[in-house]
Amino acid sequence: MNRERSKTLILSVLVIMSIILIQQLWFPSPVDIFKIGTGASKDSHMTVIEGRKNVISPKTIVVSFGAGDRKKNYYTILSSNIDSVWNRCKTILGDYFSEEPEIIPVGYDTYVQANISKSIELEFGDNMSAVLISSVFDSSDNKIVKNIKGIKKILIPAFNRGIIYIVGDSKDDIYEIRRYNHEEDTALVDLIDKLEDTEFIKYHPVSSLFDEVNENYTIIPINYTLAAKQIFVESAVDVKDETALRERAKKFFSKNFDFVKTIKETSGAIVYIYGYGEKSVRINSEGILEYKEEIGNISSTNILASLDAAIDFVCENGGFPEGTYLKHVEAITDGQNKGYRFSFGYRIEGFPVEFNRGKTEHPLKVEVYGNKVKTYYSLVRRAMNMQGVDSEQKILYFPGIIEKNIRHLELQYSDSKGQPGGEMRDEEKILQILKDIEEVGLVYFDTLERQRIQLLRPCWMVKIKNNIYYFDGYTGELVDGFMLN
Amino acid sequence: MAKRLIIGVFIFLALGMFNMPCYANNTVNRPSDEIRRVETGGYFFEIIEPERSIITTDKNALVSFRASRDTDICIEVYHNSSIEKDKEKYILLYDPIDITVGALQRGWASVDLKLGLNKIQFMIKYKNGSEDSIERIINVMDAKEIKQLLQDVVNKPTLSRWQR
Repeated sequence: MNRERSKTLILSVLVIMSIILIQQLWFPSPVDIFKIGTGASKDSHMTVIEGRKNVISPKTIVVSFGAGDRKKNYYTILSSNIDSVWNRCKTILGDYFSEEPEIIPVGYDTYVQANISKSIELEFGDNMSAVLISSVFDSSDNKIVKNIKGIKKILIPAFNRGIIYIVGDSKDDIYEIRRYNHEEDTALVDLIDKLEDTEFIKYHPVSSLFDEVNENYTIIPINYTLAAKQIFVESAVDVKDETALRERAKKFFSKNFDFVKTIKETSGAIVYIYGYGEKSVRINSEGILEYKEEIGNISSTNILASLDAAIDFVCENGGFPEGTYLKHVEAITDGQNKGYRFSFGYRIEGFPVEFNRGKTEHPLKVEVYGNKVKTYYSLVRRAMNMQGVDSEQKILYFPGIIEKNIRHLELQYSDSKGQPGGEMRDEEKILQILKDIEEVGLVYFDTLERQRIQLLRPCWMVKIKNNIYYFDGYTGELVDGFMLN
Repeated sequence: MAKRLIIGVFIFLALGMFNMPCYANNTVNRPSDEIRRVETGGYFFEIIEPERSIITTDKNALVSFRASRDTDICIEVYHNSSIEKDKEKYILLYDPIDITVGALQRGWASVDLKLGLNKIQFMIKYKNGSEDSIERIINVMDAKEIKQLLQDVVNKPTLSRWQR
């Protein structure tokens, strides 16, 4: 009898072990199946929403210190505490996007006048639909979205009197948004006052520096005693680390990775292909990852759903680097398919990273049709910790950089404007250029010459009409330049 | 007689010619904080802002100037740290700002000030080696003090709070 019982016991154990091993090999756990139907899906959806709220953030935040006079007022472009300032602004903006405020079109002069008081100006990426920005406040169908198609800038006066300003797709598309039931909130005033006691780059409007240049309120820096770090970066993806590459690529193919072919190109790039090319991942020697998938016929004009699909995809395949923001949105077509291309930028040490245009325009790009990602491009560089390297140096005075490069600028600029320029004095040429200056800011410029230990130097990015230039912040030399389409 | 007449004419001419360079030098007998432009040997320096010494509530001032190309300007900012009202004791607030004027022939500096009397000194060195200097006094007061000062001026027009 005891022998029978022990045989039964052994047999039971063997059967149970078989079931467990087969389950691990072939089938997901039934517990997980139940979870997917409820909590797991809810969790992943929350992650996508959080991801969306993180990436829909301002490209730049400009603080006005409120001298109250167009000549005397000065500004700064934030390079630290960007997230905390944006979060503070969101608590103020939330009510405007959820209530029924009054929307009044106003002129550019009204906007400029509001901007010389203590205020915070949030500038977003290009072609940002109002629906996208509104989604940050959990509201996609409100009065602002119904009346304003795109949002480029939002100006929040620090003395909260129930008014904000929104700049739409063009400089003439400006609205005053007025709430009548608002509470007193001086948080932004305190924030700006505290910032004024710290060290920062001071910017002044071009028109306040040059009497000859009227009506150009573009802010330019005039600090003499500014220092900024140079940093070393490396690509997040190392094509020489085959084990890490394989693990990274597996995420794109999930269970089908066993059927994926690996090809090593003579250039050093590694390509993983599934089937006859229905899906592929290519990683080149510089660490640029490109994913492509054949998705068939699928279209959508729901920009929010498309962005969610893009964010979900990126989060599952490496995630976003710190300091990511949505930089550019573009409606695209591929045959019969309609979709969107979302381009992202990111910051290192508070400054945006710009790239050699000949190699890449945006470090992260996702093309989505419906809820399917067709292509994904990723070039993420992370700062290296280089001990013993003297990283901080004095930045050249910005007007001096324009003077130093006047020969180059007048050639390029006068060619594009079709003006001779040759007979004017240098001073007149510079004034002519300054009249058309549209944007100036400090960035890190990545020439993408090395996969590792690539030096990024702070550069002045200058936009003059359709031309963008990058000048080395330490030497003033022209590093790169290109014409916008 | 003719000889005396000719000598007299020469003397008058000589006296007249000496007046001309004296007249051109308009910095004589003017306080240095009211001078806007100095020039020497074809080189010049001219302050655009602040035009003259001022009273303000702003703790930051944008100074701007024009000057000949390749002129070196050293801007020093001092603050009167003396506690006694009638005395002045200026101390340097921070490192001087050095600017070399380029093709634009102008320059700017954003200077931070403190409450009380601040002196901004422009030390100018032209390309030919000659030097000059101009100063401005900026009295930073808070809004209440300025209001009181204006009331005092209205009530007693001869009152001046500036001690030279």
